[in-house]
Amino acid sequence: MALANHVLSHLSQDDLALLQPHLEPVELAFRKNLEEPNEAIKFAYFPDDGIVSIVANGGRGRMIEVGVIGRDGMTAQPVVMGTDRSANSTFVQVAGTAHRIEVAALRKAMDRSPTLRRSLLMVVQAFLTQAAHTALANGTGKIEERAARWLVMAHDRLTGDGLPLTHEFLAIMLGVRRAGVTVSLKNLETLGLISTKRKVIEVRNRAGLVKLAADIYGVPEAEQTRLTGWRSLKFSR
Amino acid sequence: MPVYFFHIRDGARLILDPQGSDLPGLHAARDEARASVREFAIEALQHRLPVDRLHVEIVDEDGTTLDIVRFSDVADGD
Repeated sequence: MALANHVLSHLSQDDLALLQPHLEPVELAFRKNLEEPNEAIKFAYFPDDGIVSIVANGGRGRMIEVGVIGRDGMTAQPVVMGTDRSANSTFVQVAGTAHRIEVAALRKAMDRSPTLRRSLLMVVQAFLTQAAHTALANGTGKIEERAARWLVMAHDRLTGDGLPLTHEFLAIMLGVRRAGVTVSLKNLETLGLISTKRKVIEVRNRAGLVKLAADIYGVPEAEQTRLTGWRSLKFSR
Repeated sequence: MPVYFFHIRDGARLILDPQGSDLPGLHAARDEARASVREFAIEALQHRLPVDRLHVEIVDEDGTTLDIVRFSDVADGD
């Protein structure tokens, strides 16, 4: 079984063997809801490609993205933590493919293997660090910095330089007005860091984006490498 | 629902809204434009730039400018 997902490909042979009979390859269709607030989670997804967003939902339709998951991680983290649901929603932001497993099978496997449970807990801890830095970015960052950070994080997890994103979606994820995203992306384009086509944002100068987001990017990535061994293939550029 | 485009005027350059938004009417478009201008003002202050540097031009699908919303329209609060 060819596994592009880092979490699965870095399990011990024994731990992977516990999951393998239950892993099912699936499409991650754009905007597919994987988890709804306060509803029992059905599957854990291990993406090969694509981007999944974790979104905090408040009153009266207020929402903001708290983190992204791609081939570096997994969904259903509340299940890893020992519960069956959360107050957040999880949906597909950039389409891709994944392997999924029913949560009952995942729980059984974790009960049988402390090393599997630990591996998955490290994935959760890494994600918590990412979410903490999303709070940092949202609380202290300018929209341009935050957009740059988001684009680099998506770029880290995807193949190639094209990010299929609409301005509308990026605005919802960042919790800002559409016009704010339009201006920020235009500024990034003027700096030669990206080019914006109809529904795709192309990364032209990744190092420049990283430099612009320097104060709010990098720490979670280093921590994720420490905890799970994941390192984006794009890091050396 | 009608589509409204929120183009942003920054001095000599006009930054075009590439996609537009479906909104129930001009009142909703004005609300969105006012919220955008408030957000621009916050960003401008963070960048140590003039708060009234940007304004929003609300344009319909035919390219007709329906309204222009500036910082002065939101400066005194609601």
